[in-house]
Amino acid sequence: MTQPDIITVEHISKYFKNQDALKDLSFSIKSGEIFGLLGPSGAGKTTTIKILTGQLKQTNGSASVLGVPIEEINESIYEQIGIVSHNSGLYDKLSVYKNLEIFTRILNVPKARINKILKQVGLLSDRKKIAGKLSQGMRQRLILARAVLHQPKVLFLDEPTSGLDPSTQIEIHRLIMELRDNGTAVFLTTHNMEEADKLCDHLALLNDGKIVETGTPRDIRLRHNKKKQYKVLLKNNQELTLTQSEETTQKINWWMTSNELVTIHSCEPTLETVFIEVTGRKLI
Amino acid sequence: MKLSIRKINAIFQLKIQSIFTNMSVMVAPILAIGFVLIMKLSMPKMVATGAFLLGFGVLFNAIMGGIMMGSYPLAEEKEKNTLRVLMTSSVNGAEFIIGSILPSILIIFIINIILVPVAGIPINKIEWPIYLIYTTLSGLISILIGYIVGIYSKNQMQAGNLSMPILLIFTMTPMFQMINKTVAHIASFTYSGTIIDFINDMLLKGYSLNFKNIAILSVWTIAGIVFFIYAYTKHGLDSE
Repeated sequence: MTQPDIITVEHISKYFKNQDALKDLSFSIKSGEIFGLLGPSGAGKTTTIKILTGQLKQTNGSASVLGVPIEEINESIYEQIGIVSHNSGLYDKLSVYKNLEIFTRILNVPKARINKILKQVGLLSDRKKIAGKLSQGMRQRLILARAVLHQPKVLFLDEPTSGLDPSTQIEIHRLIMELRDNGTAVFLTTHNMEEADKLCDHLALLNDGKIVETGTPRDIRLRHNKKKQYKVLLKNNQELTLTQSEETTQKINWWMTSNELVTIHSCEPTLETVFIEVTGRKLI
Repeated sequence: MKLSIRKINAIFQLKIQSIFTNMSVMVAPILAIGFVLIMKLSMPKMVATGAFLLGFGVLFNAIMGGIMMGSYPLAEEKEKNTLRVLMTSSVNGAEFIIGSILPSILIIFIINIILVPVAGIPINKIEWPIYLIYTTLSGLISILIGYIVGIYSKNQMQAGNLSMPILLIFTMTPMFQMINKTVAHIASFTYSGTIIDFINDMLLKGYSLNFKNIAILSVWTIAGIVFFIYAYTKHGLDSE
């Protein structure tokens, strides 16, 4: 059965005083799906999240979250959504546990959930630590724990792993995928193409406020795989890049039969390469 | 705008915890007791009368404390990006304000009671209902002024810079009243001036209902609420 759309965006534009921040954005997100908005800094990713969470008004277009038009969003919808932004704050003088306890009261969540979620984010043994003394990675995990404390139907993640070490990134990726598997619709913004490739079911490439490419990560990569090439490593340490042809097929067949082939990789473009090809700029 | 008692209670408890972990908010109330005690012990009794000491303590606690309790925590929430988190966690502005004001009012109320014995005033000399209403109302006006400052401040430093002149004007009202009759007359129309007049009348002349005091405090309370609502509706608690 097809999942219903949790977020729908139709022709959203946002103009600031002298700048077009978003130009005619349209997409939709279903429950149990991770949708990624991939783009460089200043592309309009945070502006999109702010519009969809009712923190900023769009200039044109319409959108709805959980069936509620964004113009009608009030505090009650926040009981069903979670937000992690790169500047989400913590109560630095309170403990890890107390930081979550406040929100169990606000969101009417049983206190038993605190230890469960702290265990999930790997902070259970640090629950008595003062939040101000946590490392950046631990802070980000606590912010994520707070955002999913009430098991939201929609989770907005604005650059959730920016500036974090690889092991913390992997931990956060695991959590995001768990949430997706439990039916949460995840809206993720990132400028990290590996993260987008690994996590997102669907994504849109955003450049200067405009969606320049959309689809599943694989579809996007394959769509731009115009020169089909293969990189091979042979037993004699020779490394070759071969373009798809009758001759290449025969060569590969021969190397495989004679056990000469050590490795073989297809050379479809990465999302970053696609982005550079489409926009002429890097994902920084 | 709907109000949830559960959410107001959550903010109330958060603010109580914040006060105990961030004593800077408690500086004025603690100093109020400390200064009154020091002045009582060190100054000649002719100068440090009960009325002088209580007036000084109440100004420090309700006026200075109130403005600080309103402005600094709100600016801190904005500076640390926790206010935005609360607002996007289903707490609305009214719930935040009510939940935040209650602990501050409670502290001001309790310290105003403690100040009476600390100033060496016999308990039976105080017109308690009027004293508590007047001083608590002054605290509320100060907190609202503090919130207006907090709304226009992006961080604690800015809140400090904006609130300092306001805080000095109202806290130093008795000193201004000593300059000359015209200044004293003008100062008597401030809410802090009214509190000093009330305390002096109560302890030196014996209290009788003073409609001028009631009218001034009422006007300041209404003005505080109106200006606060204006600032809140125009800028929100955490506008960009």
